[in-house]
Amino acid sequence: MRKIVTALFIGMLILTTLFTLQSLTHVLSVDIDLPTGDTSEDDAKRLVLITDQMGTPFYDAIVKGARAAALHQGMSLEVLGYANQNEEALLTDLERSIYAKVDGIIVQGKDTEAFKELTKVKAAFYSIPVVTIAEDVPIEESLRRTYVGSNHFQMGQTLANVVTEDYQSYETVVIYYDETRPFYQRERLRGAAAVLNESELTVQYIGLPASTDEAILQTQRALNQYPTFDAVMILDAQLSSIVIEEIKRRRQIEPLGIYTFDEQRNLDLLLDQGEIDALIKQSPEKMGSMSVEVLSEWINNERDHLEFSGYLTPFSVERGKSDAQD
Amino acid sequence: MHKIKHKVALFMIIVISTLFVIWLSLTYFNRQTQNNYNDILARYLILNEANTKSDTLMTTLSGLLTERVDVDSPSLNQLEREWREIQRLENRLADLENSSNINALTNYIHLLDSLVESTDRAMRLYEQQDIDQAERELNDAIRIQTYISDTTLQLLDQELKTYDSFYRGMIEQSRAINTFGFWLLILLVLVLIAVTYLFQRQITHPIHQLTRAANGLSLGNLDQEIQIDSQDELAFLGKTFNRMRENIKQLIHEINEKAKVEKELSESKMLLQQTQLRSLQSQINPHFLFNTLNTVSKKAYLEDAYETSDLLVSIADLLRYNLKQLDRAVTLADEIRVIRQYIQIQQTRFSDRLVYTEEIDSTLLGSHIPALTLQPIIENAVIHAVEPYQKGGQITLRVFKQGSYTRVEISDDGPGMEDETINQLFSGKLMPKEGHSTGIGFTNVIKRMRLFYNQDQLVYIDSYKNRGTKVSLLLPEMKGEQQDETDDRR
Repeated sequence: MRKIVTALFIGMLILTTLFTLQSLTHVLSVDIDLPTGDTSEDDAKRLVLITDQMGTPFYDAIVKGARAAALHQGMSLEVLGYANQNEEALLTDLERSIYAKVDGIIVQGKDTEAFKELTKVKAAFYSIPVVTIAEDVPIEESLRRTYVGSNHFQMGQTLANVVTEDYQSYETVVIYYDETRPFYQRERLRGAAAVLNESELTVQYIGLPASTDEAILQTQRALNQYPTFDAVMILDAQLSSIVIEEIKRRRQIEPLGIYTFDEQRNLDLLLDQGEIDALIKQSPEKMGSMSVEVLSEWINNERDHLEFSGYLTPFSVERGKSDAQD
Repeated sequence: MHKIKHKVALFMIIVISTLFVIWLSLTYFNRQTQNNYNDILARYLILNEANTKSDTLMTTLSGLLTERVDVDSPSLNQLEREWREIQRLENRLADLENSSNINALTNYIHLLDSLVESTDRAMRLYEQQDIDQAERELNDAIRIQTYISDTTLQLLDQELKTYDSFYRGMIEQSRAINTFGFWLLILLVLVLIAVTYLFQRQITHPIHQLTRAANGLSLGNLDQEIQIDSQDELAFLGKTFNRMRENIKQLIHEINEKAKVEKELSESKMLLQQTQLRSLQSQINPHFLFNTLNTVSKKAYLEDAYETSDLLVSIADLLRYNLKQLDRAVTLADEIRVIRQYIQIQQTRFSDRLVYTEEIDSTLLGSHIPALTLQPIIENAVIHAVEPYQKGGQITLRVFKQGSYTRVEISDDGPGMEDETINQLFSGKLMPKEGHSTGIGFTNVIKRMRLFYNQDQLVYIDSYKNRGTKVSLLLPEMKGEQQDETDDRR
């Protein structure tokens, strides 16, 4: 009896000791990780990349390139932005970044007064270098340091050349563009017009408003007004899906030639399906990395001057799967 | 020696220090947690304070501008004070920096900076009476203030996200500490039970031993030694108890010895009295007997019966010797003289059937010996070895030196004795038969020898069936013997 009690007691003691040790290790192993106060990025220059077309493959590629370059350059890069072309939000971000005295701003250029006011007055006042990316604003209006992106005039020319290659004289080409005519679209239009005016094609220019609903209405109205045409050239990639959708409702899209740019999502898919005949493909990743490189070199005084005309990135024409040529 | 007091003290110290360590570590953990919480709370408070301060600044500024206060109004000092406070806050904000909020925080600090600058500019323009410009700056400042509020929210949100894992860790840890505390408590209770049990056993076990031993002692069991295997007062108690037990044992042994000696003494007294009584019984008016024997002797002499006359003289002498006090010492010479007279008497009775020979070392005749020691033995030899036989018997008396003893041997050629008879003789169970002249038996002789010399093993009997019996007495040398001897020779 006595032996049983003793054995039982010792067993309990050992068991309790084990449990105690186990819970002690548990206490000690609980990881309370406070974020480290010390960061190596303490003195890193702060760059901001602002866009209002977040989420599109085009801008995702820009952000990717910019981030890689920032990491490489030892810069701290903050990406701000909204989707759906919320220009107001973009301007807010821009203004806040200026007041927050960042070391450099890379921004999607907006050909609006508010934008120009901010870059010209505020950014200049705080002497923050502003680099426009992908979409440019004239330097004299915005006092931007430089531009990194494609040459929109050349892109317009190139796309128009593709159209003239595809279509002969006496055929009608409709060109859709943003009726607010931002600088980059003016450039594209100028490039396209320069080529098309040389040709014998009939060209219709139709401006569409920025609002989606109104753009749809306007498209319908245009389609009523000019029901017969052979090719469509859309200068604003954002408008592409609207226009294509509306045309699809009216007629067969297959015999139509559709030509546009690559800034919008889904276009690759349409290109693969053959609905789009040719697409101008830019190099967004290159734009991202180059903008960061140029800006950081400027900030770090590794560059004497910046090219006011900008640093141009390459682009190419991509054809749809089934050629629309008939 | 480890005292019980020390053991208890040590035990207490261990228990208290264990509890103290536990308390200390728990307090440490708690403090750590508390500090962490406080730090985090402080961060929130700083952020909130910055927001509030910038808000106040704006209120003050717009108040100043809309009221169009005087340029040297004292309320401008308030503005100055608020600027300073915001700048002080900026320094504190810089300490909040960590890997996850570095961008937002830097923006925030710069926003505050811009706010101060902007409001400063607004104030200056106002001082320069450029009211329009001042209001434009004020609008800018208001916008900046909006951004600050936004960023504050963003930062707070960021903080919550950043510290999410930390909060979870804290909750997890406090839960773990609770579990640990629970198990530790149970462990401590068990250990305390074990230690207390062992400790009390260490104390009570020796007490039980002592109790048992005391019980045994009271029942008279003095030989059971108690062994206490501790090193405290109880061991000391045990040792003392053992010593007491030994002392009692020795005391009882001494008392027994004393009682034995006293018993022997009283026995010897009784023997003496018995002897005296016997001798008194046998001396029916000895003077009359002497006188009569002497008269008869003279008569026999006058009638020319010389032998009869000599015999009567011997008898008279023997009687007189017998009548002397028995508890005195005599010399061997006296004893031998009496023996010769006794033999003479017996030879008259048995004529040539009794052959008596002597081999005596005359230097030993001074040895002391109790009176009437040899005579009863000779008489026994006559009774058992001569009287029953027609052919008679031979009795030899030898006295010689053996070591420090004088050895007296009396041998006969009688029938001898059984071993059983010899044992009975020594143990005193064999009573002397009638017919002894003195009434003193062999047993009496042995006892007196022992009393006289205060020594055992002085009498030996060698007996062989049908070949005879030899009785040997060893007489130890006594003090003053030499003196007596010389006295005797004179």
